[in-house]
Amino acid sequence: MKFSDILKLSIDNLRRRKWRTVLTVLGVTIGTISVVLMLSLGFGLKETLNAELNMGGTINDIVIEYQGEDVDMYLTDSKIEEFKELSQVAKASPQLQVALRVNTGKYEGTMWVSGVSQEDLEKIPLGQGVCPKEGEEFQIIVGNMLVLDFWDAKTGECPYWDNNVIPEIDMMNDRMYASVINYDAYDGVNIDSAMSKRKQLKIAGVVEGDPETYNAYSYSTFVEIETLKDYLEKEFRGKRLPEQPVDKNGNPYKEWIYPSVKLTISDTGLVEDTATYFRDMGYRVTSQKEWIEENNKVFDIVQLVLGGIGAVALLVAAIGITNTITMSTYERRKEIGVMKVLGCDIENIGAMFVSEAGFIGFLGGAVGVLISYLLSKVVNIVGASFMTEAIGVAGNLSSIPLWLPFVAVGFTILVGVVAGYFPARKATRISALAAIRNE
Amino acid sequence: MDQLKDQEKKVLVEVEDLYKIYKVGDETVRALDGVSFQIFEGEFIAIVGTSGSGKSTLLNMLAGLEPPTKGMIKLGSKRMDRMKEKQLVRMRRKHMGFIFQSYNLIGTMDAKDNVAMPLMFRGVGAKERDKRAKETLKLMGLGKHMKHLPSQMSGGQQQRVGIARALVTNPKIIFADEPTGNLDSGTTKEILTILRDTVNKKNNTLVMVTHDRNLAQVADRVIHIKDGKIRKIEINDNKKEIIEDEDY
Repeated sequence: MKFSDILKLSIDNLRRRKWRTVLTVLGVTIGTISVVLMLSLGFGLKETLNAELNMGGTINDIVIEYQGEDVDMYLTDSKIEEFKELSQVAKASPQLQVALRVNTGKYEGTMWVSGVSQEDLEKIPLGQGVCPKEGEEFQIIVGNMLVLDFWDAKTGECPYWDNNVIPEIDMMNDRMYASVINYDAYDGVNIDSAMSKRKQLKIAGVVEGDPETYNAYSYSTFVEIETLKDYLEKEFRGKRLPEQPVDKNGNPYKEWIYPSVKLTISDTGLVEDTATYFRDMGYRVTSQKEWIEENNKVFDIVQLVLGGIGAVALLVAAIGITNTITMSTYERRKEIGVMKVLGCDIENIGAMFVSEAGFIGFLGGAVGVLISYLLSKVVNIVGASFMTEAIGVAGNLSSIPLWLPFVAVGFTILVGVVAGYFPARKATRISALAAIRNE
Repeated sequence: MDQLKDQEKKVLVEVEDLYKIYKVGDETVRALDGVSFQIFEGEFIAIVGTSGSGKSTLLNMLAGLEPPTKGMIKLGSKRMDRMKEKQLVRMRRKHMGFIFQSYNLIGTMDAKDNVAMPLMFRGVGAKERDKRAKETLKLMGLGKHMKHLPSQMSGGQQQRVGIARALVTNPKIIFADEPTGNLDSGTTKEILTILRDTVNKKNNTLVMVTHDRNLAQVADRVIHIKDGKIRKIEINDNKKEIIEDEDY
């Protein structure tokens, strides 16, 4: 018997009992929706957070820090040159940070200015202003959400965090003054720890986005690192530079010592090994990739649990299929017998029922996937506020990867075939004699 | 039909010493109690007996639907008593046709699809089997009923569909189990005429089981069976000669 004929007979039989077929398919549909939606929550959360963590393409970066006493470990320019000689290190950029106390109008705030390479600086997406060119005077790029952290210098009250009012500060045009403050002395309002004279601060640009739209640069402040070094050397001429360690006698070192260095690894696959290499040397290493992977492990478990919950509905649907096919074999005992008498192969009879069950699985899976797409959209619309408020990240709560619908339908077909297998096998054992006995 | 001369007769089915013994509780029932006979090619054979005589059991065994307890059944050169179910199904598909008392048409299929079904089991393509089903139905005088469901046809028409279904594969041997059992006398005559004509024209071999001695007269030979044993085999030529002998 041809497979197309077996399939046609199966579909005819399903049509014959429309209502029962619809109900059984509905069971599979619900099962499919529950599995696909549950999985999509896992994928959505993972995707959104990974995108968040990897914003700015930092997956190939590792940051190494040193805070110990060993002089040989200090991250100096010559040390960085050594790192650059490692074959897997594509780039090594020192990082330097300095804290500024900033005043504008009646407001006061703190900015951590990070010294980065000119290349990195130019990558920052700006909403206002332009990126400073190499060798220009000290001017900074500020994050678009930084304004929220400014407080009233007199009362110490923070308009945004206390009263949910965005302070009226025009970063680009308002006059700003800044002095370098000591990290350690920083306690929020104490400006007595200022370490340099207050001077006017030039803002070159503001990161794109309004003050309530987050991106990786939103809360940070940037300047080209050499410009920052020049600035500090000028501000602290003849004095000890902030955050630079001193030798046993209390004298500063001649070279700049960076608290951290960012290494860009040429091959994503080598990130972990390189991280381990530096960790073994005694550095503190943070890698976005390692962190993302740690996070993903947690999400995998969450997803497994969610998928498992969804699978219960599919299991119930599978029992429904078995029930339907069993009923069908009972009703068609005589027909099966006649077919056997007329020479229909036993395997073909089994295949008829199995493909009936498989077809129920296919229909349920296909409809379930379609509805899942719709529901996923709804979940994302409804869940958008949840994502920003509860998790603090804008993005999709539910995401259906391209392969999932195919795997889902394939799986429901398989579920149908398995569920139909046992009643089908029973059907093949129906005696041909039973059929020709006159009722 | 003229009686075939012995030397022209070709044996199609050979049955030797066939037994079917059931155990019902402590009692042993001998449904077939040592039966031997031959069926020749192109012959119309009737098996006659009362209910419980063993005639249906005999038909089931000839068709490979029931295994014998003991004995030999040969179809052509093949020992059916030694075959497994799978092989028997193939034998039926390749060489046998069936006509049932209650027609046993598939209620959801129209006449044409019912007739085409055995061809479908043989893996014949849809176009070819439709063509052959239509031809056979026309032969049965059902040209106008191809698209009718069994429920839309009379008993006689349904049985003609049943006959068409048995003939469509042009089998070596056709089994008919009380083919007129559900029909009135007029229709019965009509169906028997069709069966007789078929054997005459197409030279098929037909084995018909019936409880009605009169109906059996349409056959070339009539096997009378009682209590699992052949009581006589009647050769039914023009002279209506009767042989009262089990070992004819």
